[in-house]
Amino acid sequence: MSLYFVTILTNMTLISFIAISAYLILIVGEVSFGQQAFFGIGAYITATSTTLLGLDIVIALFFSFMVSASFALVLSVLTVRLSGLYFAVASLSFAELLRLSLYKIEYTVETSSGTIGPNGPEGFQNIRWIFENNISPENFLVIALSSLLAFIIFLIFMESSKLFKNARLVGKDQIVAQSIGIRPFFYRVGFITLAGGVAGFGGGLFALFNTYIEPSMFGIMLGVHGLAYSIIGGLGYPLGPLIGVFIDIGLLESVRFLSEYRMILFGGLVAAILIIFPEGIISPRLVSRIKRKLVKKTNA
Amino acid sequence: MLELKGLKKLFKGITVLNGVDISIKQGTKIGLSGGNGTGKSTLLNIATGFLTPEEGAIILNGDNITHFEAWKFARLGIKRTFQKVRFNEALILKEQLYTSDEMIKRNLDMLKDAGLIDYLYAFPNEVPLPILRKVEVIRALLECPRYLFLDEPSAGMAATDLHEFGEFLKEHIDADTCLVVVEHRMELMKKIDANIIELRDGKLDNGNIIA
Amino acid sequence: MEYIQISIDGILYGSSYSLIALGFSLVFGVMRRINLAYGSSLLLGVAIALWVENKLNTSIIFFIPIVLFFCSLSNLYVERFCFAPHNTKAGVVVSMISSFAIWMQLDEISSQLLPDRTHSFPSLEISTFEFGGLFFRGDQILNIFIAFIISAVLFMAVYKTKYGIVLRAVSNSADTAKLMGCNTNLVNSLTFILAGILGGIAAFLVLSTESQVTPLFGFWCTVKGLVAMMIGGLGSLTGAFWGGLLLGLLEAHFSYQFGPVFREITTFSILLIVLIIRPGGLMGVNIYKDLKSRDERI
Repeated sequence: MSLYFVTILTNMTLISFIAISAYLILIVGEVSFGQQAFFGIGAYITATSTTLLGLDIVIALFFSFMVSASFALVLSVLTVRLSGLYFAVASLSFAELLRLSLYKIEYTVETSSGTIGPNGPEGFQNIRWIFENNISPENFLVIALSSLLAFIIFLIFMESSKLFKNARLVGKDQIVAQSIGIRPFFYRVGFITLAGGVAGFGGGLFALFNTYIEPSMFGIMLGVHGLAYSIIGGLGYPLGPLIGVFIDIGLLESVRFLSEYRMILFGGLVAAILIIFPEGIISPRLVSRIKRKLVKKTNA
Repeated sequence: MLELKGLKKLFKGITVLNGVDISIKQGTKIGLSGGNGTGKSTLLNIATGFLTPEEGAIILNGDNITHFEAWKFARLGIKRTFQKVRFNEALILKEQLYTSDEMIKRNLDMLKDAGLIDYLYAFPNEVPLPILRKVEVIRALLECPRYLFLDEPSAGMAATDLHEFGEFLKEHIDADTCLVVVEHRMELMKKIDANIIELRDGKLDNGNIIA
Repeated sequence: MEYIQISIDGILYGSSYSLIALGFSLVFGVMRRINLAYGSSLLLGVAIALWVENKLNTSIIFFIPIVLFFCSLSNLYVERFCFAPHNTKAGVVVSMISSFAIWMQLDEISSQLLPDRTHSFPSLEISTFEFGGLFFRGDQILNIFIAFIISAVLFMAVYKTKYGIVLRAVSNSADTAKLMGCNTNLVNSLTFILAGILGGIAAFLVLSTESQVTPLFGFWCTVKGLVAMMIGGLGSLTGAFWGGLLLGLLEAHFSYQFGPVFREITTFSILLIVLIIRPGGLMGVNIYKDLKSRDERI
């Protein structure tokens, strides 16, 4: 496999974590413009864990998940009375505040292989885990992709659970949810927190892959892209966000002559797709229809 | 027993409810009538926790639940239906009962009576309104509510449908369950032998204690 | 004395925010639609105008209508592509998301047209006054003045004219308005054009005080406009005006106390605090009460 191809797949895998993160929040009925900050925090935590603290990748990624989830938990509690545009803007503000504070964190240590540690606007350099552990690009792709797939399979499995069905009801119609005794607060906080953790995990992987991170990498546009992927992909099924990722990075990037105008094309494509598929390509309605056909087949 | 004491509700300076008092014992069937805009739905919303009164209290079996959120009311056994049926256009009806396959099997005759069996796998836009209304009732009944409030269920129903709906209610609502039907069409309330009370000028007449 | 000067600087600078927020509030406040591509459409309008101006080399008097024209054209494009196809109750979120996709698109087009980090923008050449030992930037005083006029005119237009009644009817219920014979498509398009013109005026005034335009202008408009609107109260025209001035004032003081880097941190902190404590903003716009939102009847 060529390096170019491996790199593209890895990029797709990493940004899928943000897309899935946005998807989880869409399920409970909110739009978040802030997932990129949790991605960034996850990146810094894993960077710190593997360099300054010399920890194992599994522990590092676990910390990334937990710390990002904690920040997301804070956000979910602060925004308990907000929804719609208000929640979206609050998530954006929260994310930017987190990102801007990364510019202020400076703690570096000199090592034989260079300076490590968060260095404000200079970023965090020399995240050498993949070199120290002789991880080839193909190996890393396997690591990243298998974690992503494991999580997707978990989500697919959970789709038929009461938890997720209730969460979707909370997202669709809070009033009906309340009338059957479902407490929206619980689901909102739960899913927003989980979403933060997922983004953080992805960020951790990103830090290891890129070997260098800085606050400007985790700006609003990153989150907005992830959100766009899950929206055009559709919130009917966990594979939706992946479809969105594929459309943008997969299709447009690979067709080289288009890649310069990618944003122009992609922006227009999203708006166009939304005209035809207002709920995304894999819309909840489509999923229901397919499920119904399958049931009829098994009954017949 | 569910007690509503001195409920007052204002909307932008207009007093809609001006001291509503009523005590509802389990098992009673009540028809709440009143012209358009008299506040019947408002009262229902307050009694089920979807609106908070400016003044007054809601006491359930001695506990003050006035400021509980609506989901808590539901969990305490106070359930309701909606004036305009609220369904997710993207889900089949079976999913929208929010119950287990077990429960569906156990209540097969109730579903048959409602004519729901044929529509379990249908989307809401493929289903006639009277059946949708019954679905909302069934969804509530599956959880054995102590108090069931129906919000103008006759809206959009022809006389025959209404008759059938009344039969359905008589057949499937226990003697134990308290039923409050907010309506301005009398036929339904008469059908289920409800005690009819009227909301007028923000207050209820015909009654303080309902036995 | 310093504090007074800082306050003056802040309020005068806030006039820029008010101008942008007013354009935003026309679409959000009245149409209840969130146009996230607004800032970018203004940037695009300016970019095209500069490109055209380069070829024609006219004086500033002709430049202004060119800016207004292209800003309204961009905004109309957004309306047709992102809002017209989703004119249903459920379409509010979809149109918002569509508009941010176009935000990305227009920003990119503008970057292609204005590839450098900064481009010069014609300035109105208004001098700074001095009065009682305090300095007042003349061009920013003009901005406040115009912002004030705009909000007054907008208020009149929306609440006192036939157009305003039609607009509010269409926003409240497009179906009912159609039944009454309103050409809802035309009304929506006209409103976006109007918002584009207002935005063009705002963009021109703001950029002329800076004498330059950067590719980040679109983003800046969107963020500052949203913040100013939220502080003032989403949907309130007067809120947009005062929100902008207040934002400018607060930013000036915070960056004086804590350094210029803190300007952005201030913006977002204020926004977050407002959203958590008083989402309705200064004007106390009612956002959500008792499980009944504005259009909900249970």
